[in-house]
Amino acid sequence: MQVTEAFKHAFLKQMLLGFQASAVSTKSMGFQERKNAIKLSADVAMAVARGSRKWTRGLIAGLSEERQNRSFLRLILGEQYESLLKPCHSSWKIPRCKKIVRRSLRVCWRKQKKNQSGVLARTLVEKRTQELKRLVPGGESMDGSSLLDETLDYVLSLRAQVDLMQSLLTTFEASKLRSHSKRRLPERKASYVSK
Amino acid sequence: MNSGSSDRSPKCFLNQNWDRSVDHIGQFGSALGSFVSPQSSFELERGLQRIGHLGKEIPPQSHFMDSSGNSQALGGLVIAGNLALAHLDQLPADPGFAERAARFSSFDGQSYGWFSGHFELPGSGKPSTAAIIQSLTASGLQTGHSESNRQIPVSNGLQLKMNSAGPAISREETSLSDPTSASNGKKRKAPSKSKEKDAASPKPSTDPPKVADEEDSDTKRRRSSEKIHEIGIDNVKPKLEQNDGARSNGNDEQKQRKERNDRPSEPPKDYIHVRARRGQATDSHSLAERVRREKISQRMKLLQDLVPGCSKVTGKAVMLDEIINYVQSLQRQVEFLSMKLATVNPQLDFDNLANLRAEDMIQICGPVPNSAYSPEMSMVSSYADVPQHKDILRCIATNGMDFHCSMNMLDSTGHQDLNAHQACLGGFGDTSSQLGFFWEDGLQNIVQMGIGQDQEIVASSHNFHGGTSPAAQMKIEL
Repeated sequence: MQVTEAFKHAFLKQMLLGFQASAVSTKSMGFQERKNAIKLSADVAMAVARGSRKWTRGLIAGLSEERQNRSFLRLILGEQYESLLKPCHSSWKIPRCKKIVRRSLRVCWRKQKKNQSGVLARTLVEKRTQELKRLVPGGESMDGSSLLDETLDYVLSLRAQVDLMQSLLTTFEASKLRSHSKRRLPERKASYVSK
Repeated sequence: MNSGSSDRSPKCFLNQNWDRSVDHIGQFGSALGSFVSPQSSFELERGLQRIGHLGKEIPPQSHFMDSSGNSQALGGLVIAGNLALAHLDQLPADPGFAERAARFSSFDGQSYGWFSGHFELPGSGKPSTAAIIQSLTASGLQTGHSESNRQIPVSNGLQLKMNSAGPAISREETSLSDPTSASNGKKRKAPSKSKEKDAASPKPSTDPPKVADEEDSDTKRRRSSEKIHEIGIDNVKPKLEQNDGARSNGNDEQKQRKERNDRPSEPPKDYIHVRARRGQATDSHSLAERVRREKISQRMKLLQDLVPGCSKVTGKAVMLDEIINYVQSLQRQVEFLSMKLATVNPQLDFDNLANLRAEDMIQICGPVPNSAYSPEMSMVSSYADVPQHKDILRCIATNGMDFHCSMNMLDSTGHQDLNAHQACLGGFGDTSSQLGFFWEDGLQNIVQMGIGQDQEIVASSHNFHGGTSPAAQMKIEL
């Protein structure tokens, strides 16, 4: 995946729409509420801009777990919401037949008995993979190589998200400062004129 | 013919050097074990594969079962010797060595042509080592040609002398297979099902298709050449040529060239061809697992480029650690930025901003990569929360100041009146024209041509509107 201009545009557009929809600027919300609303629309924008990938679906599914978000999500996504959501729920935790799992574990165990040297390394890697699965949205249902794929994608999108939010912030701050300076000017001018 | 003449000279040579070198063989194994590094193990594999190709036939399986990787040991010895003659102090003397080497008894004139070139070896001062190695290689090659009954009496002589070097082979084997298995990270299986079997099972007559098969699998799998035996020939050949210097490798070279030219192009097949590595099991499970592992390592490499500060790191666990840290830090950054946006937010009109989408995007997306990455990098390097926030604040402040300065300059260039009167205007018009001004200024810094032109048109229209009304207002006020 490459972070293209088109992706950034779609991302930003979606984010601003989200801000609008959640009426962040007009409503009198608490600070925490506003922050959550902003984060929510940023995440949704990221998922929508990226398209349909395992982690995007996982992300939206995770967000829609909370009831309060669902209306917002439906509003933003429209018909895409259901289509994005459907494949994820079913594949979240792959239900595995116990017999097969037991059999494969037995084989693995037998192999492991022969080769004890790599056990420590393997357990370390296992632990870390588990944690990575927790971090990447929708990661529980992925296996090793697809997990790394999705991580790659997710990292790129996160980076783009951070960049966009940061520049948005600077833009707002800049225009805020500008408006402040402008407001000060007419007063000075008025005083000058009066003098 | 060639075989006849070439047989005799090496034979004498070998006999001369063998006595000297036999006593060295015993220590070879330990030396080998010590110096074999992952890189050389790759080269070993390549060398082994080369031998596998040159020797097309394999003697009855029983030989290989017994020697259990002898062939690879010998081949490894050849390459190892070629590569690291300088490192070896002595060749170990060992009875078992000769015994096993003797199993590969018959010499072939063709392959010998290759060795005749080798006999004056790199001037590392170890001609005896070289001689042994060549003889071993020769014998290794002969495994392939055991069917052809071109036995040479020298083989018997070698057998006798090589009898002394038997046990060393077992050590060499283990030391060789250790690095190779370590580099593969694999469970060790009986190397009886070795690569040579694979290479040898299609007979010489079917060599071109087999070789073409390899080409197909080359095209099929995009992997680092080090790990692929299939293109090992091309890698090994230049390598060995380097090692041997500018020696004409006679017949063998020609034979190889012919092999390469003869490879017909076969239509690519639907599924991935995977070849078993030498000394590794060929059952489908381990093959599939190897494919899976290589996939994973490929992706780890990509991630390594992505995550900053991971270029030196090797090993899955540490890499994963870094990746986890990076993802966590990015998520924390998003959290923090949304918090910051929440504080900035109430003073700005998002509705109006949403209408200026196109202009927004250019402004925001354009200079983004340059300005934002350095704060991001500094943040990434320290994963603690507090320093992060400080860094972000500093950077945002500087960015804000930059914009502020640019706007001040804009003010001073004579748009003051306009701005002042624009400030008087309330509501929608005010904000939009302010921002329109802002966007226009920012646009000059921005690269994109096409959209930039559009923006200028839009922004100038804003200015125009802004320009007329304040002028009217000025009259009114005055």
